[in-house]
Amino acid sequence: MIATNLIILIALGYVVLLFALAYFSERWAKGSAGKFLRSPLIYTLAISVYCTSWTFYGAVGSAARTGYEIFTIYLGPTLVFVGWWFGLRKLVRVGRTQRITSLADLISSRFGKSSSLAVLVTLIAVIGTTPYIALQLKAITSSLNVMTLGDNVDQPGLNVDDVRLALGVAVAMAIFTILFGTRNVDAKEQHHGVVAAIAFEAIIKLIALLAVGIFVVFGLGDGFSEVFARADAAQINAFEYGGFNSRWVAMTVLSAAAIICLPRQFQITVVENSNENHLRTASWAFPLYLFAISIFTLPIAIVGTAMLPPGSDPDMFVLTLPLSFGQEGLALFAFIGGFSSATSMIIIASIALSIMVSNHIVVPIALRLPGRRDDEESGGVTDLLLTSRRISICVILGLGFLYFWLTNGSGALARIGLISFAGVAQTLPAIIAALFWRDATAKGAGAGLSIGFVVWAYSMFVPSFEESSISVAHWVQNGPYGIEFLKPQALFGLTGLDPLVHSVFWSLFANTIALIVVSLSTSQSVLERIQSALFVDAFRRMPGIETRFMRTSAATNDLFFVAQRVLGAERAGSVFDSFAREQGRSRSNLEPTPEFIALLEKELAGSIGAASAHVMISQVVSGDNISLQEVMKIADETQQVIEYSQQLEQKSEELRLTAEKLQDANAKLRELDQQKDEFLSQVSHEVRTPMTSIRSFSEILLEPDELDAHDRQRFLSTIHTESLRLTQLLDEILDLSALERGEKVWTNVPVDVVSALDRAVSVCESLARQKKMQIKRHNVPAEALVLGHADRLAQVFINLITNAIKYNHADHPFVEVRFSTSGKRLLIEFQDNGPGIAAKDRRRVFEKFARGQRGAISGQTGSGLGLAISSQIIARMKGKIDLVKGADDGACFRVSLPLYEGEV
Amino acid sequence: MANRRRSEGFGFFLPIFGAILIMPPIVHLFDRGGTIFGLPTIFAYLFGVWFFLIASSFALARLLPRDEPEPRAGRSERDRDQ
Repeated sequence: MIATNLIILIALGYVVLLFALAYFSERWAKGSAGKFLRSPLIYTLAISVYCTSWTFYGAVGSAARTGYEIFTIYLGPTLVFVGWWFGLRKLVRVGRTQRITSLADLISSRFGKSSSLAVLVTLIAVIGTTPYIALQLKAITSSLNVMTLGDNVDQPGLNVDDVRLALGVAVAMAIFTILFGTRNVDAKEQHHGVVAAIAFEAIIKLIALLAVGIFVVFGLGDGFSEVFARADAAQINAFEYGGFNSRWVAMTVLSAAAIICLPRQFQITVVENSNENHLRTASWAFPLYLFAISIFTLPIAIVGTAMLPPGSDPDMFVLTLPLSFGQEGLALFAFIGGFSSATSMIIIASIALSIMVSNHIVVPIALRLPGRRDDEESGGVTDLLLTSRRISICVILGLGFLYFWLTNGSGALARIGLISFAGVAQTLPAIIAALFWRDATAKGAGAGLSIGFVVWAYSMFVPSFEESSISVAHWVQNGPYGIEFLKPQALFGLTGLDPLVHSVFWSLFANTIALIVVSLSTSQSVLERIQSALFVDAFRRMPGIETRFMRTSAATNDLFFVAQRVLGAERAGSVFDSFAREQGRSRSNLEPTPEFIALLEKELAGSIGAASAHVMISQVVSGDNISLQEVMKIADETQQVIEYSQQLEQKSEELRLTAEKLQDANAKLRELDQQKDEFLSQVSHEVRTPMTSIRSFSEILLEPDELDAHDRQRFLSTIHTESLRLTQLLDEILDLSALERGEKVWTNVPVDVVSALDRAVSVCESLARQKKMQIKRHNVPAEALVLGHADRLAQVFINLITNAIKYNHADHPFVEVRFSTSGKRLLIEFQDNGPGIAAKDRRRVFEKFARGQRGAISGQTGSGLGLAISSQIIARMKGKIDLVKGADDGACFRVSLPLYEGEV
Repeated sequence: MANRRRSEGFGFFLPIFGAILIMPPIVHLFDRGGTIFGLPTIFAYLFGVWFFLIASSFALARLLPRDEPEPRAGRSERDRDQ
């Protein structure tokens, strides 16, 4: 047992430490340490304000009562952070570019800077958060009771000390928050001092819970497996939980919504964010924090249930376990950890709520009050803002205290937490629609929010007073005025569901349906359309869209007056000066362009929220807004520009493809051109040789007398042979070019390959006999029909056989012709036993004038066009001619033709 | 660009995949008693999935493209307008 005063003193000392930390951080933030204070690490730690005393104490209690259910509270946020690229990133980007100051500001700003939406969201947030603050107060008082009384038995009701203590905590927190949360009205609502203190508290609570966990698992127990072995004795379903039902799903959804919608989470994640890339680190580091803080939850619950006397409050196991086993120091540390988690939540939640209340409720009312404009002095609105924020903080904490008092601190911690979650989750449909649905309207968002909120209040919030009010209990039991149909926990006769699932289902369902239906049946105002484009297309840059909707001749003085009231003289002066510098004028001559007015409105929005800023600026430039139709036109034009630019993108892609094709075609043309050049030079060369010999012989013949008749005869016959060769060459060139150009067209008709071969062999017979060449034939079928041209086919065969004869110098030369079929193709192979074709020539043999090495050696003549022509002919018959690896060393050409299958 | 697309796809499907893993009916498969390394199967499964998500998210944070220096509200937007 530890003396009450000592513990209160320690808690007080801890609060003083927080004050000091916040104070110095605020000062360091401007210096070199500011970089550290704005690091992703601090950001991530601050986000863990999510883990309140509910996590610290309540999670163990929940685990003792219901096993695994508590983990949904951490798995939901884990999923949201893991998917940050598509959700949180956009939220943070919008928050930064639009100078969003709170959750209410986000929704109001997106739906046409609507004041009424802002008020609605603020109300939901305040009502949803109040129970949560009460929860923290309860946690602090119960934990203090446990520490001082060593209490093992849950105390019924509250005693006077509890109430005084809770009040004391609330007051201390109010002072802290006022001191560090409302020091100034920053343009970005960032509070480095507070964030540093929160980050520090995050470390303390994590270490404290881990220390208790390690003590319990490895001190009291004997490692994880031994602890889990006691689960059955403690009647905790650690092995077969069996609770993965609709409640599991509903709680995961709720907690995923809460990590976005809870005002304190929104404040830290979006408003206090100093760099978008911090989210990158938080995306894994925050889930890791949750993982670490949860790992001991179940073991502590098991050991506590098993080792502490029956009737002990499981919500306090984190304290009672060390206390019962004489570890007072550890218990004290754990108390500080729990205290940290409770205070950090209270501080951030009240800052976030006070910004909403002052920006969206107090300032709009003050602006509308008659006579306000008369007492405008320098900084008038700043003072108003700060005062209203300070009062709001007191009111909010007072409400929390009131709830704590009224509910008699009843209900397990976790239940209160879930009520809050479900309340703020009503803003989720509107947030999602704000970021992703272009056509969601303000009326739709308002309808959804109101209906969801009413259903939540009726089916969940009201029944939470069941234990403290008899009429509420009666209502819940029998329905209002005995109408069963409207029983809060079985609406429309939907029974058999867990009350939480029931409420979450009905409220979110009604909310979403109302949002969709009303949005589809109403249309957006001009401002809504502009804002919706800014939000939904946050990652697409659209310069100037918001700046163009006001054409104005507002006096610079009036604008300066307004700015001064909100920002204070110093900052207003610097904004005006920097803009005047860009215009290249002095401040007094500054031209209030639409851009400047938009910029100024944004600056103001950073302090008082979008709706109020819009109202203030409109007061000055009112009447000068350009006509509705004109604005519509601008909005449409912007839309068209976007579409046009998308079309352009498509076009340029097409152009790129076309250019690529052109390049290919050009390359092909160049290649062809080169081939043509080569062909020409080869032709000239080929023609030149016989021409030269003809010319020289004819010159000799022209010389009189010197030749006898025999020589004369010989020369004449040479000239004759050469002219024949020349003619043949020219014929073949003509033939080939005609074939290539597709001029010599013939119709393919069924022809017999065997008879074509017979003709070819008979033509070649005399040449073969000269060279003592054998022509062997194998597997010759009686008839083999292909589609083709008989003469041309014979020409190919003649060419192949002649080649085989001409280039063969073997002792017993032969050429074999083999028939075979492969599938539906007829294969005819011409195999000789000559020297074969050198490897380097194999690829070129079908090219023009490619006679190959052996032709050169043997001194054989030929145009070198034969194979090129043959190849063309066969291709025309849909066949192929290849040089293949034959059975012997010699060359082996294979002609393959598709067999004709039709009727003859 | 193709890599960016791929890691964005990864980032899109990871939370969906994670949600499916921890929701019924898949989670029922592991809620049948027994132990892994001395831990209850379902405990090991849930924390295993959780850790897998953290590790994947860590990898993803490295893969996804960094944002270009972000536009400062107001002033810079106006600059681009000119």
